[in-house]
Amino acid sequence: MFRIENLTKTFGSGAGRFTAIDGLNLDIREGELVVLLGQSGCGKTTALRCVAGLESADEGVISFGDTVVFDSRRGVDVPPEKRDLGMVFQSYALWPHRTVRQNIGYPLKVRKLTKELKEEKWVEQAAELVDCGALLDRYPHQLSGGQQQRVALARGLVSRPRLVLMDEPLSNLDALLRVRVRNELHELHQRLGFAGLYVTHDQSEAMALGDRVAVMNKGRIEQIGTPQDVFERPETSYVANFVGITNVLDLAREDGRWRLKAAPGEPLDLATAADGLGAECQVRFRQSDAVIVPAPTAESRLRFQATVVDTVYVGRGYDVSVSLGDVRLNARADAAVAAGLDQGKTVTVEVPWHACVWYGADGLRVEAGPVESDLVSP
Amino acid sequence: MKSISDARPGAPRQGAQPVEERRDETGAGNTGANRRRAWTRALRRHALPIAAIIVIGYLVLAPLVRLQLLALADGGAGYARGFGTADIARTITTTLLLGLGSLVIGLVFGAVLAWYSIQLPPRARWMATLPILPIVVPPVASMIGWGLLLAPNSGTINRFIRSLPFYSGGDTGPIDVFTVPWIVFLTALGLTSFVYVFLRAGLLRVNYELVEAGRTAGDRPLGVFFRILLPIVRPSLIYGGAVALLLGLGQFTAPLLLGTIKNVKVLTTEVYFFANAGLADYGAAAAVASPLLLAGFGIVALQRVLLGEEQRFVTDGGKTSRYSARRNPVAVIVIGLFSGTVALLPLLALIAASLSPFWTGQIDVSTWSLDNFRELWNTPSAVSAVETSLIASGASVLVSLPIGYVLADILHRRSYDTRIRAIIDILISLPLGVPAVVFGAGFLFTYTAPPFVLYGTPWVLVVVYVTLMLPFATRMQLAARMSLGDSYQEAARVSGAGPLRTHLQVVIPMIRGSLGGSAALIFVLLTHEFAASLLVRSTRTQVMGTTLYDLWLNVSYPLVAAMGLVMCLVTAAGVILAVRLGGSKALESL
Repeated sequence: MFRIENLTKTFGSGAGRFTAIDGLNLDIREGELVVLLGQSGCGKTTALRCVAGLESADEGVISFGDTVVFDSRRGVDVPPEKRDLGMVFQSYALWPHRTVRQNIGYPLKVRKLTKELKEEKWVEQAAELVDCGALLDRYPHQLSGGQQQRVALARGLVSRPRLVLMDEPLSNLDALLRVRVRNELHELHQRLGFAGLYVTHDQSEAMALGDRVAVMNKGRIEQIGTPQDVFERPETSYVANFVGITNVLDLAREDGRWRLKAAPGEPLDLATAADGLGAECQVRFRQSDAVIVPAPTAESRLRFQATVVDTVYVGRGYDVSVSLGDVRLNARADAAVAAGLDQGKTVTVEVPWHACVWYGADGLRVEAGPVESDLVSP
Repeated sequence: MKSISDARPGAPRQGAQPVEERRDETGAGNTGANRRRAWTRALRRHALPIAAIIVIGYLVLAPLVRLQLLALADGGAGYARGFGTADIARTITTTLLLGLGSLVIGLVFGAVLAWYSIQLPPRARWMATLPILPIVVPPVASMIGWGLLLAPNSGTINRFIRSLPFYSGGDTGPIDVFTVPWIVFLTALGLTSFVYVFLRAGLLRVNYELVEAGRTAGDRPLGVFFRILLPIVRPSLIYGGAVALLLGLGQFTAPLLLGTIKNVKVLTTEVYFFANAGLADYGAAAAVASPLLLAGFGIVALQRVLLGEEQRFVTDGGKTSRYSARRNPVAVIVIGLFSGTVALLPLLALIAASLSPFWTGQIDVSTWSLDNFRELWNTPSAVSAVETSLIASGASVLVSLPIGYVLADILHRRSYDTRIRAIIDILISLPLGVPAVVFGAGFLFTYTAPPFVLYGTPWVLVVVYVTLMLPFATRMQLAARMSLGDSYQEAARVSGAGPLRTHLQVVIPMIRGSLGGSAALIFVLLTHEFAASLLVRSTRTQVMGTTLYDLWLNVSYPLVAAMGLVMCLVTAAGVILAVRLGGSKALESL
C-alpha cells in the first residue's frame, strides 16, 4: 500500500505564489494502477514528482508500505535513488550516449543487482516484454518514437521496482500509435501486476488504463473511483465537464415548475427532477445523448425546442450545434433528419432521463429519482 | 565563437544535375557531349559560389601559402633558420606549457563556473554573463593592468603583500608576473571564459529529465553527474578544451607584453620577431609558424568530425527542457569572485595608474588628475591611432557584412553542391584556427609584394580585418538564416517577388537584429585587434593596440593606462551596442 497524506506544495513567493498541490490524499494498493487525470496546471505532475522524490513537498506524509519516504514534520525526505522506483518520462529521457542495453541495464547496474543483470538476463527479459529485443545494441537516436517509448518503459520496469511512476508517457506519440501502445501497456499491467501511478490529461487513456481514476482540479482530487464511476457518475460539475458531459442547462424552480434560465419562455417538457434539488439546479448530458427528433416521442424525456446554428458531418450521422436562448448546445442527428436542418430552423431535442446528470447549486451531483410517466406534461 | 559549421553537410543534391545524369544513361550515343553540357550547366549554376571560393580563397590562403613556400625555398632554409636558434627547445616547451596550462586551468575553472552558473538563484541569474566579461576587456589592456598589479618591484599587489606584518621576503616579489608560470596562469584565466561559454551552453541544452531519470533509476547525485551529465556534454567539453588549447598555443599578447622583459619566448613571439626584425626573415617566421598552423588545421578538422556525431547528443524531448538544478547561493560567491578578480582588478589598476602623475604601484588619491588623458589628447599620434582604429574597423564592418551575407546565403542554400559548400565552410573557418600573428606575418609579406601592394595604406588594415572577420561575419548571419527558415522566402517568391526583391524586402528586414548584432560584434573584435595589426602597421597607420604597445615599451605607464582605458571605453560602447542590437546572445558568440 502506498499512501499520500495531506500533501501540499507551493511554488514561488509573494505575488507569484502558486499552490500546486493543496492537501492531496491518495492510496495506491499493491498491483493497482491509479491514474491522475486533470488539465495542465492542476498539480498532477507535481504530485508525481513529489512521490518520486524529485520535488520536496511543503507538508504531508508519503509512505511506501511501512517505510515513510517523506514526512514534513519529522524532516524525512528519502532521495529518489533510495525509493526503489521505476519512472517513465514524457520525453522518455533515454540517455543519448548509452545504447538501449545500457539504458535498460542502468537501474540494475547502479543498484548493484549484478546477478539479475548478468545471470538472470533481466535486461533481455524486459526488452522482450516490450518487443524491443532486437534493438538492444542501438542508440536512442536510431529508434522511432514508439520504440523509444517502449525502451523507456522497459527501463522503468526492469528492476521490478515497488512502484512505477509514469508522467504522460504516451503524449509524444501520434494518435494511432498512442492507442496501440496504450493497449499494450494495459496488457502488460494485467500480466505483471505492478503498482503504478500514471499521470495524463487524456481521459480516454485514463479510462482505458486505470484500475482507479483520480480527477484532479486545483491541486486537489475532485473524484476518485473506477473508470465507470467517474465516466458515468461524475460527482462534480467540473469532473462531468472534464469527462465529456459538456452540454449544460441551468434551471430555476418557479411556482413548482422548472424553467430554463436561458429561455424562461421556452416550453420545457420536464416531467420531474430530483426532489433533493433546491430552487436552482444544473442538468448535464453528453452530445451523443442529445438527439434531434422529427417529432416529440411519447416517452418521458428531457425535451426542449432549439434553433439550428450549424451542421457538421462526422460519419455515421451529424453533429448539430443548436442554440437555446444564449446557450449553445451540441446535439446529434441521423442522416434522414439532418437533411432538412437548415440554419435557423427550430427543432426538438430529446435526452433520455438516464443520460441526464443533475447538479445542485453547489456543483455537487444530486441523485435524480425515477421518473413517473404520468407526470409527463403534454 | 560559434560552432564552425551550422550548415547541414549531408544535404542531397537537388536540381538540374540528377536530371542530367539520367539523360546520360538513356542517350548512350553521344554521352561525351551530354556530359560536357551537364558540366557547363553545373558550372553556370555554381558561378557565384565558385567566384566566392576564388575571392576568399585568395584572402585566406594566399598569405599562408606564400609564407610556407618561402619557408620551404632553398631546401627548407627557412626551417633551418627558424628552428636553428639556440633556445628553440625552451621556446617550444614554453609554448606547450602555455597551451596545456590553458587547457587544464581553463577546463577546471570553466567547468566549475559553468556548473555553478546553472545553479544561480533566480534573482541572480544575470550574473551568468559576468564570467564572459574578461573576453570583452581588450587583452592588451588587461595584460597591462596585470603588469601594473603584479610587477615584481612596483606591482600594487606585491607591495601590499610585502607590507603585511608577517612577510619576511626581500624588496621584490613575491609574485613575478614576467615569468612563465604567471604568464601561463593569467593567459589561462582569460581563456577560461571561452570554456565557460561552451560548457554552460552545453549544460543548458541538457534535458533535465535525463538527470532525474538517473536519480529515479537509483543513482546517487555524484554518480549521475559523472555517468550521465558529463558524458552528455562531452562534445562541449572536448570542443571547449580544444579551443582553449588552440588559443593558448597561439597566445601572443601576454608573452609579448609580459614575457619579453625576462626573455620568455613562445612560437608566436618568434614569428613576430622574425617577421619584424630589421632584416625581416619571412622564411624563418613561416617556419616557426608551421606547428601553430598544423594545430589550427587540426582543430578545424576536429570540429567538423565532432559535428558529425553531434546528433547522438541531441537530447531534446517533447517539452522544452526545464532545467531545475537545485539553487545554490554559493554560486553567487564563486561567480562574483572570479569575475571580479579577472575582469575588474586589471581595470581598476588601469584607472588608478591613468589618474596618477607617475606609477610606483602606490595609490595616492590626492595626486589624481586627468592630466594623462589631456596629454594623450595632445599627442597627435595617439589621436590619429584612435581615429585609424575607428575608421578601419568601421570600414571593415561595412565590407564584411555584405560578404558575410553572400557567404551565409551560399552555405544556407542546399541546392548548391555539398562539396563546394564544404570548401567555403572550411575556408571561412581557417581564420578562427590560425593564430592572428601567423596571419599577420603572411599579410605583411603578401601585401608588400605584387600584385596588391597595400602596405603603408589604411587599406591593408581593412583587407586584413575583413579576412580575420570572415567567420564572425558569416556565422552569425547563417545562424539567423537557419532559424528564419525558408518559408518566408518561399512565400515571397510564390507571391511574385524576384530573388533580389526577396532578399531586400523579406530576408534582410527579418534578420536585421542579427545583422546589427554582428556588425557591433565585429566592430568590438576589431578595435581589440592587436596581433595582426602589430605586424601590418606602419608609421603612418597605427591603431589603438599598437600605440599602446609602443607606449608600454617606452615605460610611460600612466599614459599606457590612459590609452588602455580609452580602448576599453570604445569597446564598452561597442558591446552595449551589440547587446542592444543582437541580444545577450551576441556576447556569447564572441
